[in-house]
Amino acid sequence: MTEIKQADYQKLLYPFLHETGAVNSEQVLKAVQKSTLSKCQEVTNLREKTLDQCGEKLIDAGIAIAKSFSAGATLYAFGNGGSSTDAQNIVVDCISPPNSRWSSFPAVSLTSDIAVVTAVGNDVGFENIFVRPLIALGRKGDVALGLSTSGNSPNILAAMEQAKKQQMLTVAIAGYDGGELACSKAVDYCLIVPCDYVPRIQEAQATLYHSLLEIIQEVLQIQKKSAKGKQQSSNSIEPQ
Amino acid sequence: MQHNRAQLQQLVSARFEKSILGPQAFFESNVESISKASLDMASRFHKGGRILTFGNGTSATDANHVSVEFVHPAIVGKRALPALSLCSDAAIFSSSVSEKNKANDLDFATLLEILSQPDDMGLGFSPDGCCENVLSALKRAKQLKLLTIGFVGKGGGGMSEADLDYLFAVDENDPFVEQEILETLYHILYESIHVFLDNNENLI
Repeated sequence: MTEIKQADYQKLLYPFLHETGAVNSEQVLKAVQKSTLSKCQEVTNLREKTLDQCGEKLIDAGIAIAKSFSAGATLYAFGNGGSSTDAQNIVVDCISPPNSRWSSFPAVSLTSDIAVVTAVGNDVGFENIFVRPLIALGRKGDVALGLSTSGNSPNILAAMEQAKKQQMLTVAIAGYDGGELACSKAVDYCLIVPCDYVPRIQEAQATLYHSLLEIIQEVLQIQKKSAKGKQQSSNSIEPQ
Repeated sequence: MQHNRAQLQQLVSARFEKSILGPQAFFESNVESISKASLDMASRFHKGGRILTFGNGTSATDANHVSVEFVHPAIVGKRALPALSLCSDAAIFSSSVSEKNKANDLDFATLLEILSQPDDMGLGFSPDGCCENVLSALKRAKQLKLLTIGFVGKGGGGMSEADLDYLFAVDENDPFVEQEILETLYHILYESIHVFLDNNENLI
């Protein structure tokens, strides 16, 4: 992201603030109100575009994660800054789902243990803050879920590469054009919100991972039901 | 593993549709109070106030998110503003305080009382508006003369009776859509506060 782009964005949303002349609070209030509504429109448009561009891949990723869970996987989520709070949000929704019909799944946020983050950051560099705990905790078949709005965060990329080395399933959620995460061979599924403004990217990414959680739960429920059905039918043919 | 692709496509479309249709009504009916809250918050920052955020579960992650937006703005060139999340320290959160020789859990309200200063702002998140610890913290914040803002779901729950300075209640049954709307809301508040601070000569 360049500074020029951000400045242009501000200019676009608050044009008169950049004209010469006096500004009063009523004017700014009006401008803020107008831009509030256009931001709302912007994020809903972005969600439409995201669904169009990666709806199918989202389903593939959801099915793959569901398969991993049913084989006993733990999901490890991580991100930087606001994305670290998204990682935590996903983990809370896995452990303590908002819907009482949903099951809990083993998930861990790699952003919440500040002792690990600062120890690794200080001793071997910030690029390794998620790599190191993945080496310690990650097992073959586990899931690595990394969030990066730019798609270029070095520590997310490094974590994805490490997770792939350990034969984990790797899912990335990115913004812009997906950056290096989109091109990385280490990433199995890269879900992209096509936008270059961080707040809106994060808001649309929330819809992506909410939808992902719903797919996972749905796939696993169908599986549970069909397993139950099989069990019942096999019971019925057993001799009394 | 058996699954019906068409069924999953329908599930995804329905999820996105809710997230696409949900925000408009909320922002249209709250646009004025959003701009006024931004101005009031900018004015508190101008006087040296800080944001203190709190919530439970996924709302704790929203509290953490708001806080980092201010401390390290994603908009390049914007200055760092003081914000603290009260939910990011496991040591504090699992400790107790001694009050009148009785050990009490260190809740958000007590933390606010220890940490806050008069120009500060208390931002509480509660999906149903009934989280006891968030409600009591907002009430304590009010007594301590903080600017109080509640972020809540349908109906506002107990928050609607707490006489907060601003209450943003999302009229939404789906918890995911509710969270997404509140996220856009706090992003807009943060963007707008910077607009007011950048033009602060006659405004604040």
